[in-house]
Amino acid sequence: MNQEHTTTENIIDYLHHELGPEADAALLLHLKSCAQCAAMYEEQARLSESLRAFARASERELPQGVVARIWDAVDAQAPQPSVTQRIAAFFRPAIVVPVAAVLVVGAFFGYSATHHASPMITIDAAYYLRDHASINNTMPFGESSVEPTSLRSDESASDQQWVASTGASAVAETR
Amino acid sequence: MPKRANGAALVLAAALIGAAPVHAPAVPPTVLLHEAIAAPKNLSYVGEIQVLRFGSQKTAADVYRIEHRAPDLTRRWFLAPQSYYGDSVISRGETTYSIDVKRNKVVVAQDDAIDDQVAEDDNFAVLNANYNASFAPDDFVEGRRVHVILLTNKYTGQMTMRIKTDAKTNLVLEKEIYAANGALSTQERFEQIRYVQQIPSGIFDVPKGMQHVDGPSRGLPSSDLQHVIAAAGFKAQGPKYLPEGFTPVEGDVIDIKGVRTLHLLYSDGIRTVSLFQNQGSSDIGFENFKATDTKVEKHEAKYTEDGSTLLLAWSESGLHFTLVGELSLAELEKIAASVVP
Repeated sequence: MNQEHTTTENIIDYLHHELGPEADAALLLHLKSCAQCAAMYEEQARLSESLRAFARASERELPQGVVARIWDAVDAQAPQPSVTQRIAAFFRPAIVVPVAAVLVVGAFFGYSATHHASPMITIDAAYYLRDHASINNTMPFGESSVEPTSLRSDESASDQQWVASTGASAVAETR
Repeated sequence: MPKRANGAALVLAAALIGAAPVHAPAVPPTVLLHEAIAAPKNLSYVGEIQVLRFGSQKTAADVYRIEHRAPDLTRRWFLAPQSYYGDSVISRGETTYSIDVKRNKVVVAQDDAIDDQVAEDDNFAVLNANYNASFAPDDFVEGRRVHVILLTNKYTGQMTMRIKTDAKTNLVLEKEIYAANGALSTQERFEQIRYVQQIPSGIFDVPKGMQHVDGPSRGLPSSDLQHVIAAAGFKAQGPKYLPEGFTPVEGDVIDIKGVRTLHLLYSDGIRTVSLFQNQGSSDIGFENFKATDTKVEKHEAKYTEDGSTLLLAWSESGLHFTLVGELSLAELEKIAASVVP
């Protein structure tokens, strides 16, 4: 890649993140060392941006008031089930069976929880390091969290949830 | 003879002054610091940054290409170390996308605190209260003239940070942080920098076709620590000792694997220390780290290093504590001993 010039098609694919990871990384390296291809990249980038700007300028959205009135009309036309229909629907097997299963499982685990010690949960040290780095962002000249921990391990990090600073439930409702 | 020596010294001094670059600007250094913090909101640039973090035994290094479009679009593309090569991090305001090419996934994290102007101003005030800012002679970074600002701790007299800001744009081009013993702990500098008028927005698009995974999300932290402590749901503790100049800055409550954890942050404006605490059947794992045994008073403890950041963990009075900060082990142990006296 470093010896030969790349093609316009490759540049376009690169700009749209369509290249495979290896080809993408190789082209990045090539662009750093080849002025001719870098110039072609700049040209294509400018063109892409012009097209995006044009598309944005041409885009029209419905006013919020119109959108709200449409949804009001949709809601008003939806038929409301009667009380007997709602009761009958509740006792359908598709609902009764899972509800019963949940009750049985809940009763079992409720009993277990009160009669056995809860299991030990191991929290990886990376969680603490990540959170420290994250809350550091507002410090003047703080390290800008380079090398995020999310790139370091297979853990998804989705098991870490922000709960509260003040008024947990109120904040949670707005999120 | 003394006269001749004095004359030689004068000639040498004159030569040195003549060779030195242009001197610092007329505006106060604190004004320049404030402008430097705000600079990325008004500037677009592309470049390459090298970050070195020096631990007590080893050094961690990162090199990444950066594309920043004012005010808040940034892409960092890692070139080194090899294990991150090709990975990138795209920040779009308060949302960060960590693109893990090897695992074909994108970790999406939300952090409302990233652009919290009130917190930024408060923290700058803490820095001003604890550090004296002064100019050193101008220098050059990547061929661009830079103003050099030294931040010296008012209590210890130790220079803690050296910042080099672009004389034309105020962008920070180089930053060095020093430990309490004077050793360099972190160096971050532009290896290349080019200011641009416009960067195509497509550069900041998240690649398609990758699995999206929720990362941790965070709301605005509160500076009212008593309120935060009350939300923890257990009888929390705080340190009775902190190094001079340190003050409570922020706090929040997070849920890690179902374990409610209180996080309090203390800072002197540059250096920071976090105290995490939770209750119940939880343990800390060091699977990806090299942990060393130590003691906090009579309690078993472990510590590990991550670049210039140190982590110290121990259990006491039915609570599990973890201190994390850019401080020495001795300082962390002293803080730890004061948490439950």
